[in-house]
Amino acid sequence: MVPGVIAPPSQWYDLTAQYFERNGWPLGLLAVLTALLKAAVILAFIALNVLFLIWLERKVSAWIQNRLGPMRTGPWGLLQTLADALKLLLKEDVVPSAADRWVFAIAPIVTFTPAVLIFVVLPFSDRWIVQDLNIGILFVAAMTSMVVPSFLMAGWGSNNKWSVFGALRSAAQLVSYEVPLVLAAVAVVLLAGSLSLNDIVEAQRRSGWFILVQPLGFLVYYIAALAEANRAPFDLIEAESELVAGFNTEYSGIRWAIFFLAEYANLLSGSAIAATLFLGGWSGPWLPPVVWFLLKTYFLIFVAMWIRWTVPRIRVDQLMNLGWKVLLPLALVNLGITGIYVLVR
Amino acid sequence: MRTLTTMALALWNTLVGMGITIKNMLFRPRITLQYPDERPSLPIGSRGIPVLLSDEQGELKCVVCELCEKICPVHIIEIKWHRDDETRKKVLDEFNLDASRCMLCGLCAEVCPAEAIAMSDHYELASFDLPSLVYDKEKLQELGRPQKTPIVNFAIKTEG
Amino acid sequence: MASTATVTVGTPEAVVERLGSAFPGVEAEVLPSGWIRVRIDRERLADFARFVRDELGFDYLSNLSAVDRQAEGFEVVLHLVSIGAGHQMAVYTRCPRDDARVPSVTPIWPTANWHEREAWDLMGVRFEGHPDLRRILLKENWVGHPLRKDYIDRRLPRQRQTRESYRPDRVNTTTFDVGDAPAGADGQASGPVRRVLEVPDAYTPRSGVVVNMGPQHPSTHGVLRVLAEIDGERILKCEADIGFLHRCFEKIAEGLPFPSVIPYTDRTDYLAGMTNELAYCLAVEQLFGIEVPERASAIRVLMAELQRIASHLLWFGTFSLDLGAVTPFLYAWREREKLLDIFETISGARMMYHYVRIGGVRNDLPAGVDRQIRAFLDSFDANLDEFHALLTGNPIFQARTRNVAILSKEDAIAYGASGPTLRGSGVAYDLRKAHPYCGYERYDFAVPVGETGDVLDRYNVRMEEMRQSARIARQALEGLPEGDFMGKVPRRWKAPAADAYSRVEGPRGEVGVYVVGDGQNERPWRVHWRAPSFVHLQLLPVLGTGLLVADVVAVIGSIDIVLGEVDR
Repeated sequence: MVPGVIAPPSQWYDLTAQYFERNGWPLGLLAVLTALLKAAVILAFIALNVLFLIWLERKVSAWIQNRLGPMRTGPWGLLQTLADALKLLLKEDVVPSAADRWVFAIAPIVTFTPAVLIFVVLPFSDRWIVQDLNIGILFVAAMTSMVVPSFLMAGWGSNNKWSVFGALRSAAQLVSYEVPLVLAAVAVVLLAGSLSLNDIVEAQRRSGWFILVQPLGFLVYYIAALAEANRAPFDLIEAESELVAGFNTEYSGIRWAIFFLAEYANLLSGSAIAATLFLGGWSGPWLPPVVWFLLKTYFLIFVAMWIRWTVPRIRVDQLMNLGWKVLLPLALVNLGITGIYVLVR
Repeated sequence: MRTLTTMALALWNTLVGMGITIKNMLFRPRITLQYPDERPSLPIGSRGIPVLLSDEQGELKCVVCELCEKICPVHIIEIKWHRDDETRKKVLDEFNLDASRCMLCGLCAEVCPAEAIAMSDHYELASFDLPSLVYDKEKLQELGRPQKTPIVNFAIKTEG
Repeated sequence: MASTATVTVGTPEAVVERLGSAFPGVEAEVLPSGWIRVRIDRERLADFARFVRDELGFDYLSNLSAVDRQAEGFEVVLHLVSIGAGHQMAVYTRCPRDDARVPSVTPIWPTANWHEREAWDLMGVRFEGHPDLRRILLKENWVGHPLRKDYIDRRLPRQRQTRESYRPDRVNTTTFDVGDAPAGADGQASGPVRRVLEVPDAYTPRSGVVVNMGPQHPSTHGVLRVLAEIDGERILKCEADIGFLHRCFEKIAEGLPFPSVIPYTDRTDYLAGMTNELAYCLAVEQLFGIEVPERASAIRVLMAELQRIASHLLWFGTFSLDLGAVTPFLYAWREREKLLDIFETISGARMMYHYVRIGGVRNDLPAGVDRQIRAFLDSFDANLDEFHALLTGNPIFQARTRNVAILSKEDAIAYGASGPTLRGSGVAYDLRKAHPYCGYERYDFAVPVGETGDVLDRYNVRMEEMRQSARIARQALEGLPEGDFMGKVPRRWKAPAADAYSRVEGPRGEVGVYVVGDGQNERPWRVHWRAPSFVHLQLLPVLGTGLLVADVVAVIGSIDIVLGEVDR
């Protein structure tokens, strides 16, 4: 923002549009280019974060377990994830001969795409949001449900009894925990009066963080989000000690890496949505809004990691029990109380 | 009411568990030894691969009684000798020990009457070349030369 | 197979009297050690077995071995125990070599099932009336019986497996139907080959899918294969397939002098080397009549109890890992590392100790190690409490272990369960209290006993056993008597023509070693290793039926098996 020479960023779009008009280029092209730029930024954000998150997971788990974690690749092992990604890229691509080739190949992509798409509606700061859809929460819920068929495709396409088992378990789990997740989010929508995520943050800026008025809702949402992200204690899908690796038994190399990336992207987006809905998103004093957003998101991610390395894994029938007989009634009760409160207010 | 207390107890117990993990994370030291830069100091008597010991003149102390060959439970020691014409003493020609199969039991060191063979603290035996793991007399003598301690519990230390 | 466990007959002499009156002509006597020795002909064995179980209260079959007596035929030895009265009986029966058949005692003691299968597999003695006599450790199409003294290995050089053997229609078969094995060069047919699991050909609503867990699997505690017929998540039938780690320990032992067998005993249950060595040395000391000085016995007790703690710590870590909690595994390892350092200081090795010797121990405790041991014991109680707070109280853990895989008292005794598996079901039987060895009667400790026999009870029994072991270790360390660490042992190990059976309370259960001397050689004529994990793995069909797949892992973990001693 050198005065007189370079204009401030808020005017860049208009200046570029004027440049386009002067040269006779269609403005539609500018829109497409802008969209591509936003997509690239989002993908870069996710990639960098996932790289960091995997390192953080390994370090947090190591410190909890009196270990050191990665130390040799890069200072404090920071380049470890990069080294692993490189290794996976160089691995041989093994596809079981009896597998359904196309389904097998597409499943990782179908898993990764919705995880990325959720970031479209996330408000990183008061002005940084890719697209402030006025159906924000609905879009998020829709994207979360899109993961279910992809796991089924992965399990079925592998043509392996254990993979099918894992896929069916995962479908049951994901579908069951969507309901309390969405219900807890709906309670927040009632309080804020809008489905748009930016409006929800604005509402919290005025009246305080929603976790203070919705502690039960936050608990239900967080547990359901952990289940949606397949994090322990709900990681029976990938329970190594039981079914080898569930639906991604037959995946190796970069195909498996995409599943892994999708899992961490899910964790990131789940925590980010939880931070937006209940912890006030980007709102906060002194620090720039984006820093608040990242701090809150990372705090929730740290809690997720903390829980993962503390508790054992839950069994599939107990998981269904928890989802339908415990979380759902709690979410309904929460919704009822919130509804009455909003009516009376 | 009972389900609510069960749920409350469940939440409390989980938080207690989380308290323990965070306490370990923040307050307990990390116990990892970054091998090979940081090496463990093995106690005296630790059994590694057997080595042949030499006297002050640098000659092997072995009197070729072949007791170690006979007692080895996995039969990995092979001894070849001939009788010297003048002194009528046994002379050790070959002493081969297959380090790839040694089970580090220490019986050879226990049975030796001349303290000529002892367990060393040499445990990094890995090699890409399997035949090279059959140690001959020279290699065993070389491994036993940097003897740093007297024989304690049939073992010596060669480093540290 | 419920036994009348409440029947007790006063003294061993009374038992012998009743035997004499019920079975005229039987040779029965009470040995100075308290054991009752009975020789019976094979025709009356089945009736004899039923009589001693029902009338005399011998409800527990500890061991069944087969011994090759060459020209005199085969000898089958049963070691029976009356849990209520504490009597121990050794039953010997013979069969001629060309007619190697003996009645099976499986209908009376279900635990004999696998023992008899192993005797058939390795020695070639047929047990008539056995429900399913097929090979257990060796492959179905093996020819010959290796533990026989005249066995010669005549296998052809192995042919390379080609791609043809991996055709999809052959990979997913649920039955092994290899027909009858060809007769070997020694004229011995290995017998009819059965199907591994009876699965109907057409899919009916009652039948399920047959899946295979292992032999390569992160949670089967070794190379174990579990065949399970499942319907959705529920297991209809399951069975364990073992033998992948069979290393011919018993045959090797027949070729080594008595002391040289000790390193091999370390490698059966590799997580409890001290108690294994102890079991073998006690048997050989019984055989040769060797006395062990008090200091050596006390050191043995100290080592055995520290070993028990180390083994239970490992079990704790792997059990929680099976259930999905990774952190307690690392905490257990942190504690175990201190113990392994102590073991290395004393014996020179972290796992294959070769420390307990016939007549005593290899060397005295080095100076300074008592400080190490005390430091460990001082911090151990607090660490155990931390483990409890982290794992035991956790609601998910409780939900996964409470009332899962309940083993009733009667089943436990009938199937030969021992150690924490038996005590979890409410039977207060611990060899250290019932038949003390190494001076255990001098130490003050409690034996934890469960109530229901579910996974949680077995877990709690082991956790409490760790605490009690720390108690015993402290007493042994503080009260270490002066004296020698090794007694008088013969220079030449010429064995008497006798046999001896020692029973030791290992971390996994009762470790039994049956050693036979032939009166001439310096090598054992026969060594039979009664491994607790081998016996406990028979419980898998009993416990596993009706469970969910996820629970199978918890059950195998709660039984605490080590494949090294299952397969030997």
